[in-house]
Amino acid sequence: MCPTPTGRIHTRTATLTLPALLGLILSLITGREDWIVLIGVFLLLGVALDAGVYSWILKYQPPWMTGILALVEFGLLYALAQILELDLRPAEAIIFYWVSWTLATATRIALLPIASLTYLESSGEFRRVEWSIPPQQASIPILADVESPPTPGSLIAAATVGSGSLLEKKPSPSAIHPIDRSASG
Amino acid sequence: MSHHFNSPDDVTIAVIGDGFGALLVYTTAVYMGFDPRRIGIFGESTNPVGTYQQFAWNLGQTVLRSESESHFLPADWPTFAQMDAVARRDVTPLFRSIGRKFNPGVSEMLSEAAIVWKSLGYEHRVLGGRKIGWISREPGTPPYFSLYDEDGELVARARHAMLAIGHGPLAFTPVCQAARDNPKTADRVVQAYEAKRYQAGGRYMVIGSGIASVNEWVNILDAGAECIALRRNPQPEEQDLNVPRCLFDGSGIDAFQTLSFDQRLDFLGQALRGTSPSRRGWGDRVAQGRQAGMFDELVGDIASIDSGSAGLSVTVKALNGNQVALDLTGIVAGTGFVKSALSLPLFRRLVEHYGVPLERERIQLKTNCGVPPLDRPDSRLCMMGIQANTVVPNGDTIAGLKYIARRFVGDVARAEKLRRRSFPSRLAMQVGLARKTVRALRAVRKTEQLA
Repeated sequence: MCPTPTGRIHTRTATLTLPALLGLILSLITGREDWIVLIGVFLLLGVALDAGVYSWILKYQPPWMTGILALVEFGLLYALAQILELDLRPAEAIIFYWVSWTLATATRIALLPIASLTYLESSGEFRRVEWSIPPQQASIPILADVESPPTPGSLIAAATVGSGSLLEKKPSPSAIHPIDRSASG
Repeated sequence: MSHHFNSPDDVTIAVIGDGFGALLVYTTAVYMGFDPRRIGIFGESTNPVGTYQQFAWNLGQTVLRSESESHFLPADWPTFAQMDAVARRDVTPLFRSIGRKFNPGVSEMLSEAAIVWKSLGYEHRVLGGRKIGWISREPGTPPYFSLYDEDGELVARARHAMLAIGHGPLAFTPVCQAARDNPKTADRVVQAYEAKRYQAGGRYMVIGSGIASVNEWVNILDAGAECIALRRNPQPEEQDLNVPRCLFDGSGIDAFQTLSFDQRLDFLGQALRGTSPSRRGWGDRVAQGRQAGMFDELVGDIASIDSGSAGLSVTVKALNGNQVALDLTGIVAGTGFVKSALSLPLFRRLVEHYGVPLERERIQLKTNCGVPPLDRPDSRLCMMGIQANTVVPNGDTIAGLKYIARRFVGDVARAEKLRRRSFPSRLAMQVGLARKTVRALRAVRKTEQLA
């Protein structure tokens, strides 16, 4: 796929819906809001990467790249979680990340194409099932508004070879020609 | 198939044509929520893959050029690789798909098509069993089209219509066409898409460097014959699809559509010139043939074709200006189809009667594939296939046909204020078709992957 920046952000947001629900449930059960906070941080990190990095370096994203990006994002999220001092044990965070990633990937592969018929062919964007450029917005050639074509005048008639009118020979219009010194003092 | 020779059928959506395009419009419309009784397919065959199957057989094609889309399923999941993996309990297709090396087999893909058309009742909606020869925009309200057969008999009336009549006739270069018209040489010059047979010990020239031509190189070598590949372009591009990859996506199609019609035609002329895919099996076979002195290449044009002692005596003007005279058994032209809209009688009549605009013999479609001046938002007349690749560059591939079908049906759904099928219903329909496809794939012999 060749996702657009908008497509990446649409996809990121939609695919993190199920992980967010999972995080919410875990937060409610354990009484620790850091599960859902971790998903929030993941979303912000992902959107930042989508908008600022991936869109520029990955115009075409082959399927195998998904796994590599998951590893990169895992490392970055882990570091961020440490910096933010989230109240999650490393093992909990790691397992939660990979479960969330699996849910997000399954959503992207299986549910989004059903939810939006044109999801894949619209570069990962959720568009209405309609044409990219409606006919009303199609580009048309811009032409000068000329009411009627000019008709040849007397000058054209006089300039035509064989018209009988003689034109005196003058110096070439080029700037590179002998200087006429007869006029100078 | 329904025959109503006396009373015309009234449908909301008419598809003029009975091939891949017709099936994709039909499945999309049913998936979106149209009652099948509101859709009519107008053509002679209830088998929407018959024409393709014949071409694939003539070419000796065993795998598709595209990778792992869902093809004839209405939505894009599960992909063919996923269904193949489940059907055969083998993860290889998934790994191949991740590496973009999976190409569905023709027989597998046709099995899927059969499952889809039989499950959704497609053949019951092929109405009349006749070719449509004339379309008339009727005045008044509500707007509709009248569809007539080649004899001028009214077949149906439709609110919206999709023209999906496929390719024009097979294309030949002028020199080849002259040889086809000459009784002494006619049977020795064939098209890649025609039925043909190679003789061991023969020598054949294949014109072109696209997928059809490369297929023939291998077929000739496999038959124990010699193959001379002739192409005009010194450096053909390797590409698995008919157009550059990102052009298939919305972003690429958007960018393509911002070009003027002339620019799009020029771009297609560049992008569609002799591209051929890289296939491990093919590459090895050609390398073996070259090593054994059975395969050679020439860059240039055929200057003349005459009958000769071996069958044909052919003069080729090489790129460097030298002329080469060759004795050949036959010539195979991988030169595709005539792209002129005027080569199709129905289009020619529309152009002559309604003044449908043409540019370089291609219909100047609107950016929604609408046919001016007949198309209108509340009664659409659209076109798909190769004739629509001036709007959707891959318009003649399954992916391109789907792209157009979806948007056309979307427009019709809006015009008809259709109550759309719910998400659970869509999911159930898609999963149901996928499950049947998986079961059918188990009974199909696995096609060897060539990439």
